[in-house]
Amino acid sequence: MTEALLHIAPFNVRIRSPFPAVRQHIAFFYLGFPHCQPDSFIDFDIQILPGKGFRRWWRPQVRFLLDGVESFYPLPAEQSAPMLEWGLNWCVASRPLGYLVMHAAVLARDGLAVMLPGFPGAGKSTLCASLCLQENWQLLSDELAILNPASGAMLPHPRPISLKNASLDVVKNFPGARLGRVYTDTRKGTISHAASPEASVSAASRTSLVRWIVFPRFEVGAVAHHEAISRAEAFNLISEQSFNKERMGEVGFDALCALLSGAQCFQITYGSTADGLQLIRDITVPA
Amino acid sequence: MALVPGRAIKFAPPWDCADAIVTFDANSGDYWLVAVLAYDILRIVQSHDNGIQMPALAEQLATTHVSEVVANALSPTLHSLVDNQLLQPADWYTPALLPMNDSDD
Repeated sequence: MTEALLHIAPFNVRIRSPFPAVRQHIAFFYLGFPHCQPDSFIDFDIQILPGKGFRRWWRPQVRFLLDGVESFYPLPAEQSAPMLEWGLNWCVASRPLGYLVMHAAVLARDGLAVMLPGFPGAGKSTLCASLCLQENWQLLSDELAILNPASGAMLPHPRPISLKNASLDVVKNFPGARLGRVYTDTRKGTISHAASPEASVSAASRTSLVRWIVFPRFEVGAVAHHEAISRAEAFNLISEQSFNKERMGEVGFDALCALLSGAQCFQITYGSTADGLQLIRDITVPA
Repeated sequence: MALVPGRAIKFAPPWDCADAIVTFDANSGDYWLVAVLAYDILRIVQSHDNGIQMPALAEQLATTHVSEVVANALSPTLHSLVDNQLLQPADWYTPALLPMNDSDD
């Protein structure tokens, strides 16, 4: 049985599992993450366990438990490591921790962050991987933007970058990219993960203020262009990507308004990763 | 007109010459993007605890909007705000809500 007590900023996570694939996943992707003291408060107590009954042997399954409670249908056992990542996403997005959590990649440079809210197929993860692996931006998160309403700062949560389908071939060729095992036939298609840059893991206590909100749209063959959009429109689009805005109520509304007040908002359309990167460079160029 | 009982309306900051203002109900968590005229109507109505009569509302709007805009857009805007359950006619009777009880006793 593997047991790991990790500080995956800003949370303390306990992971227990008998699956060798989970042990290997943790060893590969969470090597540089600090370990918690045994008596630390644990935000998420996770178990990745085998299926029950005959499912231990016939078409074996994997189950995800948070605080001893099973919240999902089991998956095929060979997806034990992806289930850890998907389940941990759900923990962060659904647990009331006092943070506003949005579906977006966040990267920062010199304390100023660009936020890339994610719509399916928008190319968010590929762009995110490009920015941190090729352009040395600090990765705060590729999937979960965690905003502290009290400070207005975006909190780093530098877990592995989720890649799927075509983005795998693009990202594996980036210099310094460390990809894990490839999983086929998952609900999301063929997926893998890219390790967070060591510098981002080391900088996991360094928060950032969002200066740019960019809604990416990848279209094959598109001519690259960007356009400014109003903050009201951005509010509407981000609200669709917020996991817990309703639960956060007035605090969440005020936090989102403050975030937008301090940011410029853009929509970009691009047909290649190089074009996407250039657009981000154009937008984030220091004034 | 009056705010629908139970609404606790807040607005996003007045961002860069926006043609839509984010309007939020702190009680339900719902939000709307409303046009400037609707925003002004809501602000005026909100400042009157017991609602406001239509002539007084039109008079106040005339101080910040061109009279033709008010004449043409007031009625459809009010209908939209009523349809979205933000406003209701002030003389509607709404029974007072009982406090929540844990039991049916």
